[in-house]
Amino acid sequence: MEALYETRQPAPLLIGGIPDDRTQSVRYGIEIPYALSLLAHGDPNAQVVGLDRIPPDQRPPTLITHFAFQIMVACGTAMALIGLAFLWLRWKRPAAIHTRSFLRLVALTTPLGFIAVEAGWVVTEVGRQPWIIYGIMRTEDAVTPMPGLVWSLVGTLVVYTLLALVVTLIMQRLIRATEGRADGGRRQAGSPHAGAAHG
Amino acid sequence: MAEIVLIVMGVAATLYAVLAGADFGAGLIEAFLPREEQDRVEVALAPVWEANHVWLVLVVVLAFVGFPSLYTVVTTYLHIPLLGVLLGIVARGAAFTFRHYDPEPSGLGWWYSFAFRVGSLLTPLCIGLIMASIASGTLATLDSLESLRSPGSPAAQAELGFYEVFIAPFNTWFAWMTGLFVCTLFAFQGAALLAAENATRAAPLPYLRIARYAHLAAMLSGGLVFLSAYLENLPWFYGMLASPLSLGCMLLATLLIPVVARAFQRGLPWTLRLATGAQVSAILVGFFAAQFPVLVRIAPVNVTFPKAAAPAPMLAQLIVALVVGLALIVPSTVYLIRIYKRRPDPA
Repeated sequence: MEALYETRQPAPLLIGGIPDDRTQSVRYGIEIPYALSLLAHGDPNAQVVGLDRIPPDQRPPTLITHFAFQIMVACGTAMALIGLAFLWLRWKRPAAIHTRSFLRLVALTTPLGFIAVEAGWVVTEVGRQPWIIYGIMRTEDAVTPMPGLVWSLVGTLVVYTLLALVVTLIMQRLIRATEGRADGGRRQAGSPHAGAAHG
Repeated sequence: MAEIVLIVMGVAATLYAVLAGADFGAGLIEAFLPREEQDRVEVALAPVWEANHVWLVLVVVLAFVGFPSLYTVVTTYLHIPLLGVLLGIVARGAAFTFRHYDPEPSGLGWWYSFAFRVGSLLTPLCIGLIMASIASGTLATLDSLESLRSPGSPAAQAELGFYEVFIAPFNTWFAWMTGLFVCTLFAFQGAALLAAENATRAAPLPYLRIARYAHLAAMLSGGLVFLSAYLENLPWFYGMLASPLSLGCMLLATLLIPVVARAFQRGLPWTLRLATGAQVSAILVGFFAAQFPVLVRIAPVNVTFPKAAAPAPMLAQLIVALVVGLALIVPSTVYLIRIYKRRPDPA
């Protein structure tokens, strides 16, 4: 996650940066001194163990894990900042909240939560490699002996994509039906199905 | 302790077979009903459709935690029928919900019905395939099959392709007949459910006629299951004859046939529900009692009870979780059914 290739004391926190597993180094990125030691051990001078202390066959892919982690933190920070901005504006300049640009900003923030969650999942699932049960079982040992599971996966993806498309279509129809527009012979709000109680 | 987990698994599986069986069955016979009745099917099914899956999930989780090797064998070697069960459930649930919420039913209506009916057929069929495969002795682990291929042995000549390992075990007459049997059994239960729901109405006639056909079909396909087991010389068949519990269950199921028939004719909904429920339970118990304590027949080593159970501390924790879970689920389910039964008839 932190792309800390060498064990360091004290350890800096890396923001951004492009890790390279082959050279075991990170290019670019901003280092904040002492911050990682503080985060990991509560002591700005503590030693943080780096990837050099872990056998090469037990290291996860650093590039993906690091990027995903940075994306997750960035999304979280962005959402927090916009929340704070809203509170501040509400206090100092209430009119600014209703401007198009702020509302557009808030609307654009909507997928960030979802992206952050997915990025977090990538961090956990890629970062755990090569273990599926840490320290006990490797992923390659847990895989089913049945070949051709990719077809199962493809099939399931196709089914769920189809379901998503139909759901979208129905939601569009529901929106149209309750908008009360009268064009041609289109059904108005109050169709017998809309509003029926259903578990 | 492993006995307790096994019994709860059995009860949950039976509850699923009885409750969801009626759901799937209603879906199967829906195509044979007159147009105006088809909407009533939707009303009857709505209340407990999703809630029934609790029992299926419970069975899967109990297998995973309590009997890991049972779970492993079934999910590895019977992946394809399991996927069939899942897709059937998804297709049914989706079609049902879409049909209900779509304000313009004309365009996709045919597709909804298609998905609903195919789903209702696919799941019971695949459940039957899975049941038969774990009892028929056609399963074999990949390692054991490969070890048979020592040079010179006749098995070495046999192709060890994907088909032989992952499809052949359930592509037997016994498996397909069991699949057919489960379909007809569920269809009968569905008809019984619908007949019971409509007992107070003036004309439950279409349900009675369909129920009679379904009952007949179930008995015929049940006979075919036994016939195919005998012809394929399956140990399950002889296990069934040798086990007093199995024979007792089959006898009970047979004796309940006239009870069910009379409940239909006299219009006794509760007798009907209880009798068909008892029949399904007896059939399930009898089926698996035929090979108990073997849980899954697979070469080289069968999955047997109690060896297949998880370690004792695991089972203890599982039982605690079960008690808590059931204390929550059972009252809620009863409450759910009571609320829906109190709804005014939308006719």
